[in-house]
Amino acid sequence: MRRHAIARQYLFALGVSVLLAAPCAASPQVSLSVGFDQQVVRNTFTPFEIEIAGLASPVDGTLKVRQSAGLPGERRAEIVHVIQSGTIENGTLRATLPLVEPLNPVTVELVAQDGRTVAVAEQSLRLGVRQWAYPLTVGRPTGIASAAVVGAEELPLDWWAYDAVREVWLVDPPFSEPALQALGEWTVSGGSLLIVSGSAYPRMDSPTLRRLLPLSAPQLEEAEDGTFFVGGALRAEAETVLKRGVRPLLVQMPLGAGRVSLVTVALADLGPGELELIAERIPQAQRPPTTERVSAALLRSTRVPRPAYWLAPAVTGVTLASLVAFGLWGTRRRWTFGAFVGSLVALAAWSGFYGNSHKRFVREYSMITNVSVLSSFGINTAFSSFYAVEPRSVTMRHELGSFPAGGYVLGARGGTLSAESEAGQTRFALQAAERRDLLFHSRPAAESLRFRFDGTYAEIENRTGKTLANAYLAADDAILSLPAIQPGTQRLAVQTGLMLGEARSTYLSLRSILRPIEEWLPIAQRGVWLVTLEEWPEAPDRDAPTLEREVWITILQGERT
Amino acid sequence: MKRILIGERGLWVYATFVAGCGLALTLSMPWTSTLSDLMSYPWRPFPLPFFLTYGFLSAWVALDRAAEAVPVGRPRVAFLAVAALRVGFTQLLALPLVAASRALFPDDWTAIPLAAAYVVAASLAFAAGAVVLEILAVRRGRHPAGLRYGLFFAWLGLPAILLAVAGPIRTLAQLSPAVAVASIVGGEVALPGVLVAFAAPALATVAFTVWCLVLSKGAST
Repeated sequence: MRRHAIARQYLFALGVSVLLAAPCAASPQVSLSVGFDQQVVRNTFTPFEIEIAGLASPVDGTLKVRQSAGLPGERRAEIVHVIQSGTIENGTLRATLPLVEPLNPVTVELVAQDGRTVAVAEQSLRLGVRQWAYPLTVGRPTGIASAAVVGAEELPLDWWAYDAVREVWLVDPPFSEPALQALGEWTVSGGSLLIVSGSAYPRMDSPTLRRLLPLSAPQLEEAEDGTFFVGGALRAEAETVLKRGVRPLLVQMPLGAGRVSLVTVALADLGPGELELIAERIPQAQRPPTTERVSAALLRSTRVPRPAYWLAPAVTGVTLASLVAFGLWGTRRRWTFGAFVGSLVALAAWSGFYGNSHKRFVREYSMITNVSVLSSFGINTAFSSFYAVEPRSVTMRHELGSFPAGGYVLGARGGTLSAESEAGQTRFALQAAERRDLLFHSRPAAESLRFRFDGTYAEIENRTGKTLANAYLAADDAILSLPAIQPGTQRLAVQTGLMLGEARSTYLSLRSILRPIEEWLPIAQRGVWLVTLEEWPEAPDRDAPTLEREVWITILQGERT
Repeated sequence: MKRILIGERGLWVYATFVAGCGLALTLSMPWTSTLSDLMSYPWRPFPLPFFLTYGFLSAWVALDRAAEAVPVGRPRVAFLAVAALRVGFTQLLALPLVAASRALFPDDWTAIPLAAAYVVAASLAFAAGAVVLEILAVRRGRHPAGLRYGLFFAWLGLPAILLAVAGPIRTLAQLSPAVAVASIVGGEVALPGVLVAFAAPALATVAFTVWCLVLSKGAST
């Protein structure tokens, strides 16, 4: 009897607990995962993964990530990234966002359309903060010191998400095609990718992986000791870095500004000390070049719309001359008064029309410098500089899904400089006489330019629909200037050969534009490259309060025949 | 025609007027060619100095030329017509410069004709006042320049004190030509303010004209 009573009490307590816990279990929740293996580096593009759970039905609202710039105790600026707007359901969302200050907590919140906060979570990233870029292993731990380890399914699909990564070790397949595509793009941007193949190769083989490999026609071969190697012919510019016996163990090849390394055996088949030898020979990734200096120089050289200097002195001078003429000869000739009035009225009409056509006052200047690198994979990186003459609210449209970094630096003037980014646009406020810079990365549009070079002639297929006036060919340690490239296919004789330092473009020294790019990607030493520079004309609206300039620099790898 | 419009020693007065307005307009114009200059020396369209100079010099020319139009001992209402013609002549000289100031108004340009109309109205009031003062002074055998410019500066400055006062009475600051021009050019003035601003010179012109007629009648009898 007593035992039954105790059991009843336990059952009652259990029932109450379940009843109390039920609403909690069903309540909407958001959680946040930042960086690879929770490792983060300040001021880098970082992968964010947001999980939404517990929604009884889809919510009409906005999912936001809030960060703040500035250290605790100092002036702060709030940075908001709108990850998704509209109908939001349970599931996982991914985005690559600039991580501003990991010492400040990051908040993710789901806000309904009526302003009600449905779910909110705050995360501290302090424990995962790193000062420098770190190695990333995909699949399982390799024993590389301080490496972050993630599963293949966690790989981000934006190449700029690897901004804080020093090198990527692909160990345990399978790898999805989009993930390999992003890794290929990251390598072109300066990344360092290492593929550990061997017996794992059949599970990782795919068209995208073959574009990454330094071997053409790769195939699995069995060595005398039963170890499986990946063999094949070395591609142009590929080199064997390490060997085991007569077989290559580590093969490397430049890809764009980066490098791909292939370990021809599986991780488990590496002998004692071989892993360390390989690790020593893997180059570190380098970040894409910033065109900040070029963009700033172009911005500063932008012409300010204004009336001619001589307008007011000329009008004054002509008026004075008319007055003096009338004063001297007004009494002698009867028609002089009519001529005097007529000349002043005509002068007034002219100066009025002239003043009207030169009244434009630009309140906001912007300079966008785009760099596209097109090799086996392609990348776009753009640097935008804004300058406001008076306080402005700026809305900048950009590639869908690409959130810009920068622009959050706390100004010396004080105030809260906040910014709100959505997938396709970013809004921020500019104070008077303030310059703000934004950096963002994206993928290039479909390739519309191809070329091959035989040492004398360049055969170029231009499907951009535009004439490319500033075109240069980089090969054999020299920059060779090309005549204007008309739309269509053409065979152009390469003109004068100039060393990089001597070449000049029409609007800024080509040297100043290409030097930071050349330091990052030695185009004149890595095959043949076509460099085109285009400046988009400013908007034809003469009364527009904004003046926007845009320069496109395309660096395209060609084929040497 | 030249004698009526310019008068004695008038050429340098008008030349000073044109040169002064031209200098103010020249200094108001932007001189930065590139954004680099603009970053170092920020500039915004600021037409007020030109319009204040133009208004001040117009009033000065009106006072000077209207007083000069009154020959000693012959107070007649025709002097008012001569003074008005000289005001018109002054504005004709300013017309090309005022038109060129369009470059300083990137958006709304209605302030230009409004400000120019106000300057004409105020100049006519000053001219009529100068004629009356000159007639009175000639009768009494005194030199009226001190009184003329004293009253001119008092009209310019005293109503501006009301800018320090809050409430509707502040609108009366528009009685000062300087405040009125600044408000019109700055686009800050509402309709009541514009009415107050234009009412002052209009009423003054009417009052001085009537006074002049009375003085003329008295002189003829």
